Amino acid sequence: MPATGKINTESYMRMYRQMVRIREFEDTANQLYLSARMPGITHMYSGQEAVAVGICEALRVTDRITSTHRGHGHCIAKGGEFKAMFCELLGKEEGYCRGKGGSMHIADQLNGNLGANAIVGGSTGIATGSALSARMLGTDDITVCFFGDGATAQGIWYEVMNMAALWKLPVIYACENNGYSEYTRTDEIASGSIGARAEAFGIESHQVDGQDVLAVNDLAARLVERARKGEGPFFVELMTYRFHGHHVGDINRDYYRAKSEETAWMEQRDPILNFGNWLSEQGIASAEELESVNAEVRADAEAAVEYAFSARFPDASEVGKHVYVEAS
Amino acid sequence: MRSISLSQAVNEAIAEEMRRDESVFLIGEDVAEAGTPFKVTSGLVEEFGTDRVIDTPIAEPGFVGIAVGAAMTGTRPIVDIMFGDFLFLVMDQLCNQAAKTHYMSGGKLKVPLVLRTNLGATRRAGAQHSQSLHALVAHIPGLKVALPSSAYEAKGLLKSAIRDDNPVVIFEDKLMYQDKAPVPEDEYLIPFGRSEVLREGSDVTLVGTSSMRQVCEKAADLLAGGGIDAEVIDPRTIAPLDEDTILRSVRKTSRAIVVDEGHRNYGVTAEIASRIGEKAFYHLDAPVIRLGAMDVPVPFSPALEDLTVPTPEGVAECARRIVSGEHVHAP
Amino acid sequence: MPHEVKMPQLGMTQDSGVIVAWQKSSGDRVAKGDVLFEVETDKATMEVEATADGYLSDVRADAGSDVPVGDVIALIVDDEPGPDTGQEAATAVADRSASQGQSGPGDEASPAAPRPAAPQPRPPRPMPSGAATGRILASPKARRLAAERGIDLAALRAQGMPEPIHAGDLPSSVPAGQSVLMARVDGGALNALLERSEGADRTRLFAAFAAGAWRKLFGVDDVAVEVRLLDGTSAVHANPDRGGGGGARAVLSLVDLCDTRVGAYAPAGGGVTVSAARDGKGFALTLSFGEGSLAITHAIALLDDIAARIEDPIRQLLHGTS
Repeated sequence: MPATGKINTESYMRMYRQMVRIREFEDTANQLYLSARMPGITHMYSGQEAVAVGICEALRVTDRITSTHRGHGHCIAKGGEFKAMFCELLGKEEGYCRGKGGSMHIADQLNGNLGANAIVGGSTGIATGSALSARMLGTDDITVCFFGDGATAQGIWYEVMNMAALWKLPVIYACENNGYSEYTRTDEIASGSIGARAEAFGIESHQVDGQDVLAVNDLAARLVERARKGEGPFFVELMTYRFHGHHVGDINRDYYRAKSEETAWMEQRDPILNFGNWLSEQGIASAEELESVNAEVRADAEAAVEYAFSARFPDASEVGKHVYVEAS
Repeated sequence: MRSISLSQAVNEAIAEEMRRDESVFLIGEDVAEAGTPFKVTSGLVEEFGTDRVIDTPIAEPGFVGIAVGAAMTGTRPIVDIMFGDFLFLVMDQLCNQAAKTHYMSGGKLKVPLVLRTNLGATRRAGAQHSQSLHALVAHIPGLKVALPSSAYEAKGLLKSAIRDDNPVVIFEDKLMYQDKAPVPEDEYLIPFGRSEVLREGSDVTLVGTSSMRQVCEKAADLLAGGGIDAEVIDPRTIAPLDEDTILRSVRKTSRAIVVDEGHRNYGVTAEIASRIGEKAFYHLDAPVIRLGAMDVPVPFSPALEDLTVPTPEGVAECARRIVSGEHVHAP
Repeated sequence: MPHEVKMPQLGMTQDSGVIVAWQKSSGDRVAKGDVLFEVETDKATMEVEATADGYLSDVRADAGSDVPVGDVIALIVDDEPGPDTGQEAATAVADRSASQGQSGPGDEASPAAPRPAAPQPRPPRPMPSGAATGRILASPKARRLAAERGIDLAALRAQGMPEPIHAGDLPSSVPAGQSVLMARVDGGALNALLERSEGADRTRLFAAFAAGAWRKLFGVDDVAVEVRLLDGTSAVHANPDRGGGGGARAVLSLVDLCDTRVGAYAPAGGGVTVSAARDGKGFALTLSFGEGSLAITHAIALLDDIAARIEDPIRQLLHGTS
């Protein structure tokens, strides 16, 4: 693993902690689902942590992201807090969306998260529009559009890439290629090269190891700065892997994905384990220090879940609120 | 007072609001130099430049999605959808994204977007350029839907729509773009959710939206000749719908005919008629009659197309039958 | 070759069906596919159509009858049947109903009085819209105003008001409460008739006179009279002046006070009520009615004709409605 990228210990430790926070959040959410304590369905980000963290660590608070149905990782990486997230997952009033969004619609506008989106490809237009408004309003904020390989089959992505390229918008299309489009291998749904599709619009295209947080962060930092200067848009394909099924209930998945493949990724390509090992090898953090980070995060998650369970559900009067913006 | 065409009124509304608020911009196919096929936006690009009057590729889902994102992040886009029929292309962005964002975010995000489009048949434009699809979007909570029926309404409602913090879909009658009507020089707004009583009457209430307002007014003229005194109401917006004014009228006249150019099945007429049935039942002296576009794709041939849309004569005939106490449907 | 009209099997678990209403009457010309009658099963009310062209005949089950699946309830014949066929058939069914243990009319029947229709084994059901004997067609507003003004829509229809009844058809101003008319009648002829005919039923004769007078006044096909007995019960007699049968809602009530010392009954609660009491050797008739539902001119004509029929009962019995 290269020793390039941020050399600042604080920054490394922050990336490690953020990845651990995502993993811990997802493990906890998965347990809540499996023990039938969480309503609805959720999609685990575990395995892809280096993508969200590597990119979001290159962003400012005022930079914006759009997220996906597999969006907890993006929300945490962009500054989201456990309590408001668990409250949202449990449909509580103190959730990010007052319990009205749920797992697939968490939005955290104060941290620039324009929201997860349950329509595959549904946020590609929103991200592009966010970039357009930033330029119209004269800010140098950029927008990152997270989407999966599955969304590359949606027509709207091509429409908005065309316009983003025509109008040189400050947007980075971050395609997390985790190898599976729901229950189907990506090579069965995607012809040719995904990166070449962006190139066809004249968009600079990159591919990076999505399990290597430093590599992701290094590329993201460079592209973000260039986008800020008006050199966008950019496309990045991040090669990654989801450790769980399509959603928490997708348990028996041998028909589309071999157990041995999953085991190999988890044992050899876990972005957190590998980055932790690298931090130890480099003498940046001892195994004990990393374990204490893990323990702190675990305690945070436990406390947040406990808090969320005791938090109030929204009052029934809430059901009719926010359909429309009240006249000010 | 001066009279200007509906397209001039729309143009004025956009220009005034763009001057008033720098975050307002116009986006769509051929909105800049071309000024749209109906020449509604002509001249705006000269004043506001291509940064604020943005021509797009022919990619409705894409530029509506972009407008949604721009609206969520501090600007107020006015999107031009060249024909109402193309709404089917943008349903996800309009109904899944724009309509729901404020609610799904618990009130944190808002989408102050205006989608301008049109409705209306009898332009010999065939089935994919002649539909009146406002009921489709009015069905979706989170969207507001305005149906101006004159140049005056088009300007006042559009200005209100642009200042509204919610996504608004505004349908102009494409046959009315050149129709002139008195429009004040001074600024005015028309609030949403308030019907206009165009003509008072005691025998029957005619509710006419958009293109059907004039049909109802002409029907009322025909009826007056036969001694039937019709009240004509234009709801102006169907989401929100000012049902109070309609119900008050029906309680007075005891009879109602609802006329709208959308298809009859599951349409605006069904909604308004059922509200009358629910809330003014004991005042009804006749069944509420619905008149809308026939439930067929709009045919091309003028001989056929004209059959599909309600006419003043048809409205008047229905009114005569229910006022006379005739059995208007099989018992 | 007559076609049998049978109670159809309309549900998986159905073993009988209640006839809600006949849409055709005995003697009517029917075409294949015409709705003959409506049946209520355990699931729904369904319309039963004619399976042949011809004339409806031998109707053996009245509205309200619960008939086993497969039973023949009428015939469709090629030739127009005589006028009496329907009545005989109704009588036959009434007998069968009695034999099945349902309350029968036999104890009340007398040779001199017309045989009554079979009592309904269930409470009366709504009649189909449009049928003269069914639910009144009136606008919601007309119904509301009628209720507010104490107007009896059934009476308006019975007087020939075309349906649907609209708000504008209602009498605009109506005296509040009930109006009362009284008449004194010579009883000689009726008393003689009752003495001669053992078992003759005075009350039933009054009902027949009232129905006949109503029919003559308004020219309607079906007239039913509610006879209110002194024990608090009541029974509806359909077309008692024509031997019973057919379905109709009662248009007036009759109270026979002749076996008491009471002289008149005029209820304040609405409707049209005739009471008959002893008055020396004759009778005292009292008609109470709301002027919203029965115009005063009609009321006078009605009571006068009932009185005339009592004074000359043979004429009524011989000539029916003449």
